[in-house]
Amino acid sequence: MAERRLTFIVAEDEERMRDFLVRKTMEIDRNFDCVGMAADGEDAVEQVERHLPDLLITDIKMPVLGGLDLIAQIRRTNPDMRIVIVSGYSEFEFAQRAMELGVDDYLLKPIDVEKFRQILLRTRIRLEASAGMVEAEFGLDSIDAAKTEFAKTVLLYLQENYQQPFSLEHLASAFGCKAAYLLRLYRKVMGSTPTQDLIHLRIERAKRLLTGHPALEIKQVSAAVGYDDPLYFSRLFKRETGLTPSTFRDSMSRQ
Amino acid sequence: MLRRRTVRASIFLSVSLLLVCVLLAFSLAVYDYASTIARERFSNALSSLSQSVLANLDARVAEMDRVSLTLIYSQLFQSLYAHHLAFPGSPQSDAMRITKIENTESLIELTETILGPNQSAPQVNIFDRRGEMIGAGYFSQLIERNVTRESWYSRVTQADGARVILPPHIDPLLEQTSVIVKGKRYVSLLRTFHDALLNTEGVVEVEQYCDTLFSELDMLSRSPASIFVLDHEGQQIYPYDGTPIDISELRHIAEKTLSDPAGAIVLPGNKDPLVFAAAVSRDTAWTLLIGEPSAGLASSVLQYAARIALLALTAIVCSLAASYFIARRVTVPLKALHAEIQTLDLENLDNTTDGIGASELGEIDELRGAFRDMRLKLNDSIQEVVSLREHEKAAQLVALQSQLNPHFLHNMLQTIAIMAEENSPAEIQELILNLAGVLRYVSSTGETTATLGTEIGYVNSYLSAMRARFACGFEYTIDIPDAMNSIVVPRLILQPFIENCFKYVTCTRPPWRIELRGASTPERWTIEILDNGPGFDGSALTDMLAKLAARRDGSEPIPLSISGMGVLNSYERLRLAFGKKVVFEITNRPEGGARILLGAMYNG
Repeated sequence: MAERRLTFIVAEDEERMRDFLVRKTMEIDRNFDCVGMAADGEDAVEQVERHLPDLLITDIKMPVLGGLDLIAQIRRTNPDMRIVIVSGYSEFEFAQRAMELGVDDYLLKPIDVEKFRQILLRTRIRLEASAGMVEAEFGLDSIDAAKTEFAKTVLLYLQENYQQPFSLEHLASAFGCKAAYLLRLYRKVMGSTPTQDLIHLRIERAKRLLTGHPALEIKQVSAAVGYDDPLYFSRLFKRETGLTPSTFRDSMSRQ
Repeated sequence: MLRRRTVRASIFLSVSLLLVCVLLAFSLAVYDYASTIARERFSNALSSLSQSVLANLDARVAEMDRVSLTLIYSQLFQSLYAHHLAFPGSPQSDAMRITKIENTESLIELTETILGPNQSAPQVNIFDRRGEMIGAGYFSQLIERNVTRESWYSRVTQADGARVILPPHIDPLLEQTSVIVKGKRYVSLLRTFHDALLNTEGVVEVEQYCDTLFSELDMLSRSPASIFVLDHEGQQIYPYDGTPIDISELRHIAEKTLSDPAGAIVLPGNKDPLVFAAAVSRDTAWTLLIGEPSAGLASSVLQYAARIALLALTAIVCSLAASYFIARRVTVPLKALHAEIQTLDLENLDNTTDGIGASELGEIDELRGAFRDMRLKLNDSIQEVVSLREHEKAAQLVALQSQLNPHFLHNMLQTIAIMAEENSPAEIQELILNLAGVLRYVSSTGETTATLGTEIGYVNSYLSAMRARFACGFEYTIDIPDAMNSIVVPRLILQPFIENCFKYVTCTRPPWRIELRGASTPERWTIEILDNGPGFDGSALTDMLAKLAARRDGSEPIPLSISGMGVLNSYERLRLAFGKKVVFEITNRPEGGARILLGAMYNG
C-alpha cells in the first residue's frame, strides 16, 4: 500500500542547522518531502502559503519575523498545520506562547535524535488521522462548477493585481471569505496555491521587464512587480530562476 | 616614656608660669623701690631727729654762754670785780676784810641774779690771777685756788676770751657741798675776761649738770649706747658717765654718715647693726651721732615686703585660677570633640545633631564645624565607594551571566553535533578550541581587569565560534594596533557590545557583519564597534543618550539589569575604571547599522 506523502518546510536562520533539519527529517521518516526552506520569518510565511505543507519545523529566533510571530500569522490561514519548534530557548514564556498557538511539539537544541524521531512519528500519525478533515469541514470534498469558477476568478484577480502588495488575508477579504477556505478551494481546483501563482506571475513579468526595458533598475523592476524590498525580490528571483535579476538580464542580452 | 602633656595642662602651665614670673619681677621691683623709700624715710627721720637734738643742745650751751657773757659784760660785775682786785689777797684790817667780804657777797649775788630764779646753771666760778676763786651757786664763797695750776688754763688763755667747753667731768669742790649734787658730772664753759685795756683779768667758768644739758639725749638714749657726741678735738662729750667708746671708729662713722646720709653701719660689739645719722653743730663744733638699730628699718621694710608679698600671692592665686578657667574653657570643648571622635563609627557617621552646643570660642567652633563637615563628607565618600564596589560587582556579574547564557552553549553544542554528523573533524576541533577559550576566559572570575590583548583574543574566539554557527551568513574583522594590546581594561568589557550587535544584526537578513577597529593617538585610545544591522531605534537611542548624559553629569548610577541594558552596564564599568577620562559614543552609521566608540584619554 502506497503511503501518503507528507510535505514539510524548515524555517531556520542558521544554514547548517537548516540543512541538518531537512536532512534528518527525511532520513528519519522517508514519507516526508521537503518542499521549502526559509532563512527568516517573512520568507517562511511565503513558503508556507505557497506550498501549504503538512508540517512546519521552525526556529524561534529568526531575522525579520520571529518564530512565534510567524506561527501566529500562519495559524490564521492554516489551523490544521502541524508545527514543531526547534530552539535553544527553553524558557517558560516561549513554551507557554507556543502552546497557545497550537504548536505540537517543542524540540530543544542540541537535538536528541531519538526524541526527534518520536516527534516525527507522532506528527505523521496525527496527520494521517486528520487527513481530509479540514477539506470536509469546508465542504470541499467535491468540486462543482461554481467552486471552479470562483477559483478562476481569484486567479484572474491575481493577474490583474499582482503588482499590488499581497497578503492572503487581504485577498480573502476581497472575495468575502475566509483565507483558509479560499486557500484550500483554490488549491483543490488549481493544484497550486494563490501565492505560488502570484510569484509565478510576478517573476514572469519581471523577466519581461528586465529584458524588454534595459534602462530600468532592479529596484524599479522590483517595485513594478509588487516587491518593495529589492533584496527580497532578488533572492526570490534567484530561487525561482536560478539567476539573480542582473545576471539574468546579462545572459538574456548576450543571446 | 614621656607622657604627652594635654592642651589643658600646657595652657595652664605656660599661662601660670608667665603670670608668676611677671608678678615676681613686679614684686621685686616694688620691693626694691619701697625699701629704698623706707630706708630714705628712716634715715631722714633719724637725720631730722639728730638736727633737732643738736639744736636743743646748742640752745643749752648758748644759755651757758649767755650766763657767762652777761656776767662779764655787766657794769656792776666789772666794778665789783675791780673792787675785788683792789683788795689784797689777805686784808690786813678787819674793815677791809669786811668790805672785801661784802664785795664778794655782792659779786655772788650779782651772779645768782644773772643765773635767775630758774638757775640756768648750778655753778659759776670766777677765777682771778692772784689765786682766788669766787664760787656762786651751790658753792658760794671765796676760796684760795690758783687758776694757773688748772689743766685747762693754757687752753683758755690761748682762746683769749672765746669760750672753751670742758668735756664732762666731776667737780670735787661741789662734790663736798651737798649730797644732792654728789656723783654729778658737769660740763664747764670757760672764758677769760679783760679790763678796759684788754689785760686778762680772770677766767669765768659756767658749770652745768650733764644730766640737765643732755636730758633730751638721756631720754632718747637707750642701752646699748646709741647716741654719741664728740667735740671738735675728738673728745668724748656724750655719753658723759664714762662709758668707754671707740672714738676713732665713731669719727669714721661720722665722716661716712655725713657724706652719705643713708646706709647701715655696724658698730663693732653690737650684734644688731645700727643705722647712724650725724649732725655737726656750728656753735659748738660738736658732732652728734644718733644710731638706730637697723631692726627698725628692717621691720618697716619687712612690713612693706610682707604687704607686697601678700599682694603678689593673692595675684598669683587669682591668675592661677584665671588660667585654670581659661584652660578649662578651651579644653572642655576640645574634650567634647574628643568624646565625639571616640564614639565615632560607621553607624553614626552622618549623625551630627547630638553633642554639645557652641563653646563661645570661635576657633573651637570652627574646628568642630570642620570636623562635622569632614564626617559628612567621609560618610558620603564611604557610601560612594561602597556603591561603586557594588556597582562594579553587579556589572561584572551581568557581563558574566550574559556570557554563560545556556542558550549560547546549547547552540554551540548543536553546531558541534551537526559538524560531527557532517564529518568535519577539523571544523569541530577549531570550534571546540574557540569555545574552550571563551569558557576559560569567562570562568576565571578572580581578575576584574584584563589587558586589551587578552580581551581581543577572547572576542576573536567568540566571533569565530559564532561564525562557525552561522557559516557564510556572518563575517567579522578585527583590526586593533598591537600597541594597544597592553592597555588594561575591565574584563569582558567588549562582550556586551558584541552581544548587542548580534541581538540587532540577526533581526535582519544576512549577511551580517561586525567590525572592530582600534585607534590610538597620543591623547587617547579608542575601539570602534560597527555592525550592519538596523541600528538603534530612534527613541531607544535618545533614551540611552539621555541616560548617559545624566550619568556624565554625576547623577544617580544607571540601574544595572541583566536583560537588555548591556551597553549601559558596560558604560558604567568603563566609568568605574577610567572615571572622567572615559570616551564613549553611541551613534547610528549613515550607511546603516550601529556604531559604538569606547576608550579613554591617556591623561587628564
